[in-house]
Amino acid sequence: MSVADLLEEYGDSHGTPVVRINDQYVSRPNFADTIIPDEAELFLIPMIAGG
Amino acid sequence: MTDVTLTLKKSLRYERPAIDKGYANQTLHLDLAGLELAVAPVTAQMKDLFIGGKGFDLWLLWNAVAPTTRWDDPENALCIACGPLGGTPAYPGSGKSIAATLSPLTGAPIDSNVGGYFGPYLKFAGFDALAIQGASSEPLVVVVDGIDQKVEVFAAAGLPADAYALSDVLTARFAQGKPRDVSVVSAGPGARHTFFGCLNFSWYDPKRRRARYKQAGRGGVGTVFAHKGLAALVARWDAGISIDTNRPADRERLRKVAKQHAKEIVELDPKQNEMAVIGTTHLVTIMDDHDLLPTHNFRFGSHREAPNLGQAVFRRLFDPGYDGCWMGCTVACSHGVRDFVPVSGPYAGRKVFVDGPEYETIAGCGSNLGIFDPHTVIELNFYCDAYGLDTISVGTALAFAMECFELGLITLEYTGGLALYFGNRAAALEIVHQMGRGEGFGKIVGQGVRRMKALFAAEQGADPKLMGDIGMEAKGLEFSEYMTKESLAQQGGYGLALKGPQHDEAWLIFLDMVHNFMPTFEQKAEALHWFPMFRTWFSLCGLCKLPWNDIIPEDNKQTPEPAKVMKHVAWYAEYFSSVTGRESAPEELIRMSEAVYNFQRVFNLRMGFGRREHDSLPYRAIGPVTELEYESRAGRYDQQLAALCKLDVAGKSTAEKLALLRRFREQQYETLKDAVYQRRGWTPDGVPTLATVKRLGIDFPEVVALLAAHGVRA
Repeated sequence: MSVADLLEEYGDSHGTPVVRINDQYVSRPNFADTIIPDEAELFLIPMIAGG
Repeated sequence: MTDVTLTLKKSLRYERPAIDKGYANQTLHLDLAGLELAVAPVTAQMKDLFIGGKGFDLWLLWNAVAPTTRWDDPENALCIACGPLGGTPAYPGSGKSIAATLSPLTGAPIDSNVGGYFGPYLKFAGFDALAIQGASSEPLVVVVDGIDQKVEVFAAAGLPADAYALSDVLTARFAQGKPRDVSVVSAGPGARHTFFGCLNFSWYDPKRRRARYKQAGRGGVGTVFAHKGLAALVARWDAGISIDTNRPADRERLRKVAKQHAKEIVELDPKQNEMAVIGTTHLVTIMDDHDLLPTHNFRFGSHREAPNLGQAVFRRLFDPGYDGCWMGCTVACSHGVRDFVPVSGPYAGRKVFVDGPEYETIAGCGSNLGIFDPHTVIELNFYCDAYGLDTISVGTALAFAMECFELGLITLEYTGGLALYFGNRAAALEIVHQMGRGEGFGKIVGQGVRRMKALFAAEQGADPKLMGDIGMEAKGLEFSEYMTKESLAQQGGYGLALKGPQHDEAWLIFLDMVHNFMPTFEQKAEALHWFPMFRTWFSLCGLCKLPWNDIIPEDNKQTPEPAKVMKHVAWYAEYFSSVTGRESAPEELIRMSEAVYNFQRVFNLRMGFGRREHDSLPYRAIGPVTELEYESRAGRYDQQLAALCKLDVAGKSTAEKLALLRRFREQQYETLKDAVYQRRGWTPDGVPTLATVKRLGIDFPEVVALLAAHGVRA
């Protein structure tokens, strides 16, 4: 399952710009191409701020 | 060990006031020319209108200088203040100092916020702010000793030149066996030789048993410090600080809200940005993924080698452990690299501890220079700090010089034989060492982008128009490290920032470009009102902004205004009310900032700036300058021309499309200015109206006369 698939299932396909899979950050442009490994922990990163 | 001699030149005994609701209620004034020390009361008006921190700095600076004062005049004051909430150990991010002065880069007031212990120690020692005027021909060390209730000025001889060694020596000298009781402010040799010198503020790390550093980087505050002949400022206070040290108006209320926020960060940071582990380094690849990471002097927003500088690398390089730059901060993002061995300069081959790097340094001294080797970035970080140089201005200025070199605008002979191609790591390091020594082409780069443009035109016949487009400065200050081409709101965030293009006033890229929270001009204008105001408030109070919106509540998305993180804004209102006793709702925090913000705009006007023409941007901040840039994202730009400008791009050359896009985007930026000025209560020329200054209570006679002189009347 890709990150994009998971977020669509979760009902959040447009709200999250970045996720973290274990300790790797993945941004929205790469959601469709990033497969979530088994047993991985996935966190939604809100990215309201920065800097 | 250097043989250091400190000769007492002047001392002042004082009775330390009891801190009351976050204030010491007095300020310390030092004139270095006559070695005069004076203590002045903080008035009720100062607290009502200017709150503290940056507000106090600006008020003291306003009263110190005249419209004709330049940065290197004796009357220019270097002011450092904390704020009424600063020094609270229970609430995350409560240890900021704010330095302000007339900037060597901009000629206008600059403010720069920084962690470390100095500001809170200064306040607890008895002074809400410190203002230093005059200049000394011999190096001076000023010690504010809150424990022994004395201020002492020493003539110094034999002090090490670089900031790291100097702070170590002075920490040992004044600590009396308790190094955590001492915080040192110093610059470094590069601050003397450049216009973008920074200040290093120390905090003592008991676990690692060493002084650590944070930098007030922007605008040349360190250059003013060095020009005044200051070698160091030292504050001494008992590190046994508690929630009671500020003597809050309502201790229990403070304890409750502080605990809430601290607990939330402990719970959520590991699930979000992991700032306690990797600092701000996560931003590198995220910015790269969204085409926002400056590479090659802001030409492009991404690079295939960017992951070499990302969090995955620094996760391994950072020394694990608690890294809070103020006591008890649960964000604790001030990481460093242990046992780093530089390959160049005076520390070559020796193990050192490097404080940093943060995102800005990685982007400025890494990707923007075409350097994707983390060790070179760490070394540049180390020497910039040791020499007292702002890593952001170093990166942006050197990137401009590199592009000029690659474009043939300056010659190899002019650079002293340094082939300044993007990615030349050895040349980048040598430039920084030259800044430290005050010699060679590094001294020219150290004058900043604005002066380089004039020099290259005069001495090398370089094209001023092209340099105007690619020299990434506004108001004279070098850009911090975000690409703004595709975010009109962030163009405003940089171009309309009072001090110049620094992201601490408005960081709207993701909100605008990625979240699309503000599609209309009116919404962008509203954001460019509210966010700069709330961000200003942190610098009035002595606070760090990161706990506000870098770690956010899990239900934030379901709130009416997720961009503002209103749950935290309400907590900050509670925090302010509980310490100062001045009952304040969230909207009152914005009004506090509005007064100071508009006062600073008027201050700019007083110094010959602060009008619409001064809010201009180099075109590269707005759109692609060269055909290469256009063609690298041709699909995006062609689509915009078709969709937004209703143009048929078929058959048009790249040069024609560049010109059409430029006309469109520059007009958009001017329209944004109109909308923002209107929202802020300013004239179309960008000057606060009389009604605005009256509403905010800053209609002092001199302000009203100044506005009238610029045609602004009732």
